[in-house]
Amino acid sequence: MKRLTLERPSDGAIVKLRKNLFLIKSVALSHCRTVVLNLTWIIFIISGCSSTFLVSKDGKGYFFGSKSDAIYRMLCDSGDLRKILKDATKIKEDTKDAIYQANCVNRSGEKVKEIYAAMTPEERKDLRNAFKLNGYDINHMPC
Amino acid sequence: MRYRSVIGMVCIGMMLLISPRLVASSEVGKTAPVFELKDLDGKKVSLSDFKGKVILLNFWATWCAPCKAEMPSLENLYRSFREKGLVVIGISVDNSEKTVQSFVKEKAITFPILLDKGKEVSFDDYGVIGLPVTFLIDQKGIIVEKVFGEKRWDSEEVKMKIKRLLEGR
Repeated sequence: MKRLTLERPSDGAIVKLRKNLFLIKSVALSHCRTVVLNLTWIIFIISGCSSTFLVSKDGKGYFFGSKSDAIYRMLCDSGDLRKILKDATKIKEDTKDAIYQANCVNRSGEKVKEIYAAMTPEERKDLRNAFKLNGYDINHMPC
Repeated sequence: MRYRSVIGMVCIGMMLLISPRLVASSEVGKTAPVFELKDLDGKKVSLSDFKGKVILLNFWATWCAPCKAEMPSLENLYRSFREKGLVVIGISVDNSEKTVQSFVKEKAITFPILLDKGKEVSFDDYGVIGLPVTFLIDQKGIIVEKVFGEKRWDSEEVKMKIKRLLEGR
């Protein structure tokens, strides 16, 4: 009968084991990421039509008027929204103020939606072009 | 437990996705903005070309799952009523014309598809936010209904509504 002995694994085996552990960790992380992405997608779907349009720059996109810190940094902290509104010459000053307030001061997606709905086609066109001029894209989202 | 709550959220999401939202909108009761866009053959098409007809104006994109899901029923509705005077126009906001073309071919869509890559019509003229959005326009050019989200367009309820509009009621 053979006797079983415990031997120290070779260096190659240890490296292989470490690689496998790293792979397991990566798979687990990607699963978490998938769940988070799915949840974000569901939130997008739920808020879809009741929300506003999506503004994106450098691969990052957020709902215009949303209360997230990320869009605040992107539009308000950076001064981009001020520049965009300055470039939108066909929008009335009080509408511009209302857009800025609703995005950077008393942040409200509902208010943004109201302002957008009340804007004329010319004003919407001007806003879209001003976003474009400042490196932003405007996109629709699925309802 | 965690999985149950995730499944629950998925179900809520699906329910909201499936149910079309009929929201009282500021556009309803107003004249439909006239536009001119190119179709898939590069031919210019204007809304005014269909003056006096009942029009179903559907804003969509190939990346929008609910938009793609309602397309077959929209095509069915069009086939049922085109001889009676219903016009269905699909306005795609896709960036790639080729993607639209292959989708239209694959799904055998016969109603006119126009391209609004720059979103001049969807964003500027019609104030579209989410997709799909469909505007029902009567023979006088007035928007009588704005439908948010996916809808079964070949249902009896829709057919009755279209029939009434075609009869001028």
